[in-house]
Amino acid sequence: MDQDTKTPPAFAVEHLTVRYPSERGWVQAIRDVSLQVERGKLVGLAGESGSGKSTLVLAATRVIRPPQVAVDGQSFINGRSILNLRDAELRKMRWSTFSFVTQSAMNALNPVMRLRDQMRDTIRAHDRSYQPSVADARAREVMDMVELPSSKLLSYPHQLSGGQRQRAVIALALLLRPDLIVMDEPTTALDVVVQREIIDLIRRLQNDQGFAVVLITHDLSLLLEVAHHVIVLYGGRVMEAGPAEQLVENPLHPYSQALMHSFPPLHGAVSAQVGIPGAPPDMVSPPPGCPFAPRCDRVMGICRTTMPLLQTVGQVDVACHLMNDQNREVKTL
Amino acid sequence: MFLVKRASFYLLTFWAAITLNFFLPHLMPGSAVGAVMARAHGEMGPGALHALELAFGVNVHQTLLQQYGIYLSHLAHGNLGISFTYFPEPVSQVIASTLPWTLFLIGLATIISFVVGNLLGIYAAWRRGRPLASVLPIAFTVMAAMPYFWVALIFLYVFGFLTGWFPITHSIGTEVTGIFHRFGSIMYHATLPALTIVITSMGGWMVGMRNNLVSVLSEDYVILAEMKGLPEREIVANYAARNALLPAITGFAMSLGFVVGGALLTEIVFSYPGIGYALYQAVTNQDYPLMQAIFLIIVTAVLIANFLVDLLYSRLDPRVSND
Amino acid sequence: MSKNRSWMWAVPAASALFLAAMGSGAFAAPVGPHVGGSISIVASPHGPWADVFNPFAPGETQDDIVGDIYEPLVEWNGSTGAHKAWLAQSWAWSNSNKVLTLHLRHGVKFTNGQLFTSADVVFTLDMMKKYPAIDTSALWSYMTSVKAEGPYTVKITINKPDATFLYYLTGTYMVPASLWKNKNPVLWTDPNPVGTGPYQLKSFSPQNIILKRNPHYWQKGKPYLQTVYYPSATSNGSVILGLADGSIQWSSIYSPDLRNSFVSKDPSTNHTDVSSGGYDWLYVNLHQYPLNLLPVRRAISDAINRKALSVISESGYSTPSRLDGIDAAQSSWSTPALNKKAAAVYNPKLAESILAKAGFKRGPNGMLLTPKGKPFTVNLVTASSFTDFVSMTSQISSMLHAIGINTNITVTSVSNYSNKMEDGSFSMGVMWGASGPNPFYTLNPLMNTEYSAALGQPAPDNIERYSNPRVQQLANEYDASTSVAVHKSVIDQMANIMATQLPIIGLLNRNSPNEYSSATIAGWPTASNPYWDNSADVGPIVVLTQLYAKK
Repeated sequence: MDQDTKTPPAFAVEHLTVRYPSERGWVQAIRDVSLQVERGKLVGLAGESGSGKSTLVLAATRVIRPPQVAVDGQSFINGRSILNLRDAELRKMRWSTFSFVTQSAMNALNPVMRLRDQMRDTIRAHDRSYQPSVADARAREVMDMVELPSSKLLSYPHQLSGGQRQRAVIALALLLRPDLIVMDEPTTALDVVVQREIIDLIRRLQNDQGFAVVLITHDLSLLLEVAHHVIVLYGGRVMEAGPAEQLVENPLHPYSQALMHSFPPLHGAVSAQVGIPGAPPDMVSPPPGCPFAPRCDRVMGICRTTMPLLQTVGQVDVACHLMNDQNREVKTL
Repeated sequence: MFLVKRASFYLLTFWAAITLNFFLPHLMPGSAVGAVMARAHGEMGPGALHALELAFGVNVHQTLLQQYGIYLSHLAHGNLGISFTYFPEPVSQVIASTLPWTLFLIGLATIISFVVGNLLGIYAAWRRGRPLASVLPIAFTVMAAMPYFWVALIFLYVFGFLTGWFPITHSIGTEVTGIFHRFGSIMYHATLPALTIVITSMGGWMVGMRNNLVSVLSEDYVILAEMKGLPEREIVANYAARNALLPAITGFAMSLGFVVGGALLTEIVFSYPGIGYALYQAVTNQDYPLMQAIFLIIVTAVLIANFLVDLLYSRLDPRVSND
Repeated sequence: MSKNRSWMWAVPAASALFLAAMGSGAFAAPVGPHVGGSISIVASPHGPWADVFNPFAPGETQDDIVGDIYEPLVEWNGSTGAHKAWLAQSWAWSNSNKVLTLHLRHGVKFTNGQLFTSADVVFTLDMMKKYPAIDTSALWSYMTSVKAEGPYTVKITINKPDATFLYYLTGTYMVPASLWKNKNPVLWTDPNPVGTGPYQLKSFSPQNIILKRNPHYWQKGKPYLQTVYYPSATSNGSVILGLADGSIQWSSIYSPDLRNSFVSKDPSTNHTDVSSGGYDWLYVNLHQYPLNLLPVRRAISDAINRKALSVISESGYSTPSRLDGIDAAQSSWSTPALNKKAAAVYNPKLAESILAKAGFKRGPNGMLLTPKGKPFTVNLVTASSFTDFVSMTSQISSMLHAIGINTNITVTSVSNYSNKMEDGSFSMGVMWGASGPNPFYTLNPLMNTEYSAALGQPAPDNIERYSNPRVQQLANEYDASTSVAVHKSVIDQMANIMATQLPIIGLLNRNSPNEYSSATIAGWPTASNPYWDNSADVGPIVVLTQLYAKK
């Protein structure tokens, strides 16, 4: 917020709607979502599985695209409209401006190619004056950044441990010095100790190199520790968005609150976990009002009929009718 | 270490195969003499029975163990014996005149079928949704389901007899001289038989490749390759197809190994020389020496093919060799 | 080949009109026999050829080709049953029919230029003594010696009179002593054959054996055709296509519908005829009860509809036979009385009454019980690759079932079937029988104990193991005489035994079709001039020396 307003944000999405066909009809995966990721920031996308958080990013970066999905709205990376780019231009932008650390590092690397070759081909695809020796030098650099010995460049993925593989995937993401790295559940498959290491690594790299990160996870407590900013998605809509510390201390949306309670904090005592009762909504025919209304313990009549608008409360944006009541209460008080 | 282990495994298998090969014919009912008499349909005189037994040496009084010893020692010296069917032509001669044609025709057809089938499979998976990509698998599955004999006869009749585009018999024309002309004639004669083999066997490769590739395409590393902005060609070749091909390699090795078994139906329909017909003759005529030699070749070829695949596989799939 | 075909398909209508207008005689400027031209022969589909021209090699795969290169002393005519002088110009029996004196043709040369003389005959026959494995006609079971008397006379002594000896000499090819004396004739493949025949090997490949004319052949001016091709074939189908498109001119393949597949393509040039040779018999194991009872065999014979066997199993080529072993082509050896006695009838009612009279009764399930009160069950054995025999066997099975006999069918491999039959480990089975120039060659091996063996030992011909001392007496009478009258009487009596005792049951006269094209080649045996059996399969040498190119 305090950055130069002339510099476009690293990643911005405006009124994005994503649907994909299923046997039962169109699934409304993302409904009218807008968000911004400023340069050098780490923004978390949180929500249960099925909330649309991966779909949002993948559609906005055209990893999934028509005819697999129908996309409306706009998406920008460094101010360039992604959805209108020609394929060749998009291909050039990929990895050099935005890269990914995909869900499971186990499967993110080609099992039949050495790590070095999977880095070389990436560089070759973006560099006309490609030279293997130069490429290898850069590969060693990024290996160094993720604290892997560069001898591992000659390894095949199956020869690495889970943590090493995750580091390698991150190294790969750093390869072309992107402005934005999308990390989709980068720690889910790892044990707690390794998770810790990876999270620290990400935080440090992000600090050192200043790229923006979109971190997708269903683990809200993790986000709250590392993210500058958190966006909570539910039923394809933004429920709450704001600075991380705000959400830790005072989550406003009932869903954010439920999500907060369903995970143990990464540090500190393990308190009793409370799962969120009920199941995510059927996105083929989502409820007409707030998508969380059927599971919300503070549901009101209006919640079932009208979708609450996103409104700013302090530093936080919230979409909840309770805010209106509370505001009113605050006013009358 | 890996190699030594594999090699000793193959040696053991080979020994088991040649031993089985020795004993199997001895367990079969009937005799070669009876078969020759039967083939002659009563045209052989009354003395023929005795004469044939003498010629074939079938009434030798040796124990099975002695015979086994002789068999092994002959084998070690490369002496495959004399064929009963083509008596007194040595078995090695029968094989020398048929095996090259089989290797050429069936080998070529198998390779073409594998290559083209897999390429079409890649196309069908990569471009799925397009009309051609949807039609191809169905068309070739139907082709593969049709009896080969029938397909071959239709091709022979239409493209050989009716139109006269291709010869209807043999692997080379009569009295063709000169390397260039011989090569041309051989290719010309092989076209129709090879085509029938390719189109009836390609469907399996194609459908297999398509299905493998469709599941590989949803793997994270393929999606990541696309995210990396790799050219499409590289994604298909190095990321998708290379992984989808792995399961097909073993099948390909087996079919390469069985190439030396010949293709009996092809040889019959197109009167194409080959080892399949020789094997058929050997079996119907109880021609043990020929039968044993052909089985020996098949076993050896299958083992060699498997060994080569082991080697190749460890190159193609690094996960295999490092255990 | 393809040129011919495109012509055929492009202008059939035009040429038909043209022919109609001109009359076919306009083209037929007849050209007589002259040297030149070629022929393609596929006797039957045998698969790729082996590089074996050894005339003593067992089997019959390349017999027809070897018979163009090597020649015997005597030929015999399958159409008439008469012997024909060949390398031996004449012969005479002496010393109570125990010495055969052969007078060789003069001036016959092997294709390497050497003269053919008595030394070669003596060498060839002696070699067969030394190597019994090549004596497939068992000549040395009769012979005691062979001697040359001068360069053109050979004297053969046999141990007892045997009128059939000459016939078994017809299958014995003469080879040059000079080239064979250091060879083991059992294992020698003879890749570069040198014989006296009308043709010599031009080139060998597994797919085509090419013969060229022997310019110094002893029949002056013959043969006429310059080149003979023997392309190998693996299936009847491809041979029929080859016949239909004119790339094959002569074959003897079996095909059910030659009229449609071959003759109709051009009825003026495409012809078929049949070669007759021998019987298909229903063999009955005479060591098994109740098959050893004559009324049972009579009833079985009467229960069989031979017309149906002929039409359904053999496409009508083979025809219903008599019961006495005399086939249609040999009817001159029969008598009116025998004709009557030997006629096969189809009368299931009669069969049932014969069995009833013999003490067979219907059991509770309606099937017959033997007089001993056991179920009457017969096992039939046949070979899967002889599809016609399989079909016949299944027909016979249902025909027997219709008169109350239980049947089982065993379908097995050719060699297993043949071994079972020879060893006597069968109940009933359809199989061919011996045949020769006259019915004696059929009847004697089938009924004489000389051709039998103990159960479990292979018997060459008398596999039903019939034993009747009268047959031996008759055989001795036949062998001791060269008189046709004596032979006729012996044959009549043997045929009577066969027809009345039914040691085995005659089913069909075996006829096999031949196909030939007169489009480019003339000189074929025809119905009006049946000078020789027209089979491409069995020694085509006589017909081959008569054929000539039409232009």
